[in-house]
Amino acid sequence: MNRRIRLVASVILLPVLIMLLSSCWDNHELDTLFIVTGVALDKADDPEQLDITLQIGKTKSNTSGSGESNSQQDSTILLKTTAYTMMEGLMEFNRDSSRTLLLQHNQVLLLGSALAEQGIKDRIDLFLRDHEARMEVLVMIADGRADKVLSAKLDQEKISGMFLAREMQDLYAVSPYYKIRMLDFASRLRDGITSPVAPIVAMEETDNKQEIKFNGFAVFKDGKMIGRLNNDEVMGYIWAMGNVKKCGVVADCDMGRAVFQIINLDTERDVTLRPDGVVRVTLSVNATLNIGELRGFKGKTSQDLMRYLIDLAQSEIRRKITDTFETTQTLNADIYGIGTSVHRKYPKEWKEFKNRWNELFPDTELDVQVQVHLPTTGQIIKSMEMEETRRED
Amino acid sequence: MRIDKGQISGTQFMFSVACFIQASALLATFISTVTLQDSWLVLLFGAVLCLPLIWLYRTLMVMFPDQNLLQILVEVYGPVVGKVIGVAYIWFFFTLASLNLTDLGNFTKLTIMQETPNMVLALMCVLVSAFAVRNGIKLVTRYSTLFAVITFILLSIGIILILNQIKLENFLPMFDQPFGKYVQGIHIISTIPFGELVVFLMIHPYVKLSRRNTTKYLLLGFGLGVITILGVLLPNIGVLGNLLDIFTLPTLVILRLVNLGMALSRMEIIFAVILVMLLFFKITLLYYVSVLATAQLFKVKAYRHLALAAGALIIAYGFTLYPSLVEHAASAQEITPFLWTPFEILIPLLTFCIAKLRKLPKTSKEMAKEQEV
Amino acid sequence: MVLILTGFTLIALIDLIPLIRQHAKSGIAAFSIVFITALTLAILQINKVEVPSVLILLGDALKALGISY
Repeated sequence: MNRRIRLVASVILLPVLIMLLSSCWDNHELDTLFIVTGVALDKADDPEQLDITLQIGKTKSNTSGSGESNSQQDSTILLKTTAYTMMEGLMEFNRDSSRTLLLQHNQVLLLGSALAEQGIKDRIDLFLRDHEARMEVLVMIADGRADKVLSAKLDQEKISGMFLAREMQDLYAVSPYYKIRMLDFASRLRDGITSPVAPIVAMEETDNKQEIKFNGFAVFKDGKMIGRLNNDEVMGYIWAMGNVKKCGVVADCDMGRAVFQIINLDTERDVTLRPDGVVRVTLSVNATLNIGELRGFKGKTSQDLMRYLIDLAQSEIRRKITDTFETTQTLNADIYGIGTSVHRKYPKEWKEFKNRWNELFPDTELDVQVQVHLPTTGQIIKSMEMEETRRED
Repeated sequence: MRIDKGQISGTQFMFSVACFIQASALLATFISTVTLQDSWLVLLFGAVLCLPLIWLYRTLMVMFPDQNLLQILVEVYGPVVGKVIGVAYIWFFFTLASLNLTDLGNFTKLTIMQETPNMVLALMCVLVSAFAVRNGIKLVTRYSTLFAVITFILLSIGIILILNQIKLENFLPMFDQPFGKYVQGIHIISTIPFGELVVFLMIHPYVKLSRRNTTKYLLLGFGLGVITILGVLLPNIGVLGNLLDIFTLPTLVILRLVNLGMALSRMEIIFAVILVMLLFFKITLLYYVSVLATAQLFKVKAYRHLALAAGALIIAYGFTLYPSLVEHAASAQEITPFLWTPFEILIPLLTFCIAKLRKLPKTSKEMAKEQEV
Repeated sequence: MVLILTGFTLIALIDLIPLIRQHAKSGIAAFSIVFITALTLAILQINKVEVPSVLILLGDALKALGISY
């Protein structure tokens, strides 16, 4: 009797549980989704509005596109619209397309340089707020229009959003400061003291081939792009921040040209306050290098040469760091977070400095001390040209 | 009068305490928005300052080994005042249960199921809890060990995966905020996760424990809980830095940032698992305590028949409490610490003092004497 | 509405009947207090009546007394 009741109860319960527990509200099937792989925001004709472009990686070769989409390649779809906010744009896309947009796998947020100059602080709210938004989305600035970068037809990678993400992953191995995630960007944007930076990429077309080039860093202040660092200056910035794992140092002098590979470069930063109120920054760079390639240097014995090369590398690193620092001082943008370092070391004085940091930063003194080690010379000890000089002796 | 016949062991008691505190760990935003990068210090200070409080609970447990909180109150304050305070406590227990239930609903929505109605989530949770509650203390606490251990393992995995993104300089500068903020932070941490341990005064009669073991297990459980919260707070601060206070669920955000060689990423499901598991435990315990307290007040032996009705009340009541998460958080920071203080600190302290003065509890010999007189 | 009423009827069927059978007066009293409160709250909310939040009211009271951060 009891058994029969149990049987009946479980027969009734099971379907009920299946219906209730299968979370019918949140089902997402792969073939009903548009997986967004890149978002580009550009300045629209109306300064209040945004040109929004979404890049969608196709899940199948035959996808049903929406009204506004134009099939660029076999592997991506671009959706474009103009709206006042990002969310309005997304709503429009969702209304006009046959599938739901999935932002969770978005790789990159590209901002057009015109929009960046106009100000982006009030444009990125959705990328922090939305429950699908991830803080690890890369932030990049596009030289010119951002949608051009997304529409680039690349040889190396079919989806340009993925290309940018992989490229950044490679650069991240060089130095973590190359990779600007939403978290880093928003953190600096909110900080107000440290100026945000973001890599600049540009689409270049040569011989009917489209390529995406890395073109330095954009420097922001108060949510607006105020200047840029070129690729050389970016090196100076990366070195000044330290924690570089691999990277080239090229030094040119009258004797020849030397290329070093960084094995490890660490920078320690110390800030001191001079009695007259000037902030003094000491960067102690400690680098271990490898000789990558030598050209020239005739008539040097190998011992001499090593000493000479160390000097050369040291002055080159110092020069680049100092150059970049001067550029940022002219821009008056503290991209290094020196203000934050002062805050951490001198919390009391900082209360007064905080409001004057704009005036103080351009007067900040920089002292770079570089220590270079050259433990190995590669597979050869001497170069071809050096060998010749020895025979002449 | 013992309503529930079940008994639990000391270890289960310990893990229940640990689980109970852990459940608040993932929602530690309450203090991290107040004291930012110093939250972990505040947590440690709060924990140390709470030791006397834990000692107070322990003393009450040892003084009245066979009576739960409501019985203690009646014994100490007399039947009328005792019952009035008892009703207030019942309200407190129900409110806590409802608050945690709304938390569960809201945060599950934020993490995994965005479109599922709150009602369904609450209903599912309460139905399962009701089953446990009807079966008594043994079933309520049975899975505490498992939950606590899983939490430890998953959390450790999470921390190890995020270790490379922690920036030590985010912890600096220390002691940079106004003094009042620290007082507020310590007050919040001592009332919201730690002080809520007062509910264990309702279930200690069911624990098979000697005097010394009570202290040991209570403190061990408390310690485990504190370590978990610390393990949650430190990575939050280290990874998020100055963005710590803008996120609703910082832990979720940092687990989303996990990215080891492209393969190990998107670990936020860890968060969801722990969150649902621990909140479920906490709700079940609070639910059980509410039902038990109600039954005690009315001297009902068949407490299990109150379970479903109480569950319905917890759900219905929960929906009236706060219209939004913002108000919930604001109130948790500004009001709730004061609101809970009487229940968690003042009344137990007063009870202890009066009990000492009146030389309670009477031993059986004294009782016999009194009856003779 | 129908669902809510069904739910509450089920609860009453499961728990109230054994209580009545046992003639547990205090039990019935406790049950009905909890049950009726829950039912009222549920019906009020179903009918979109704004139930004031106890915690917010208490919070306002405390704020008026000047006890808050």
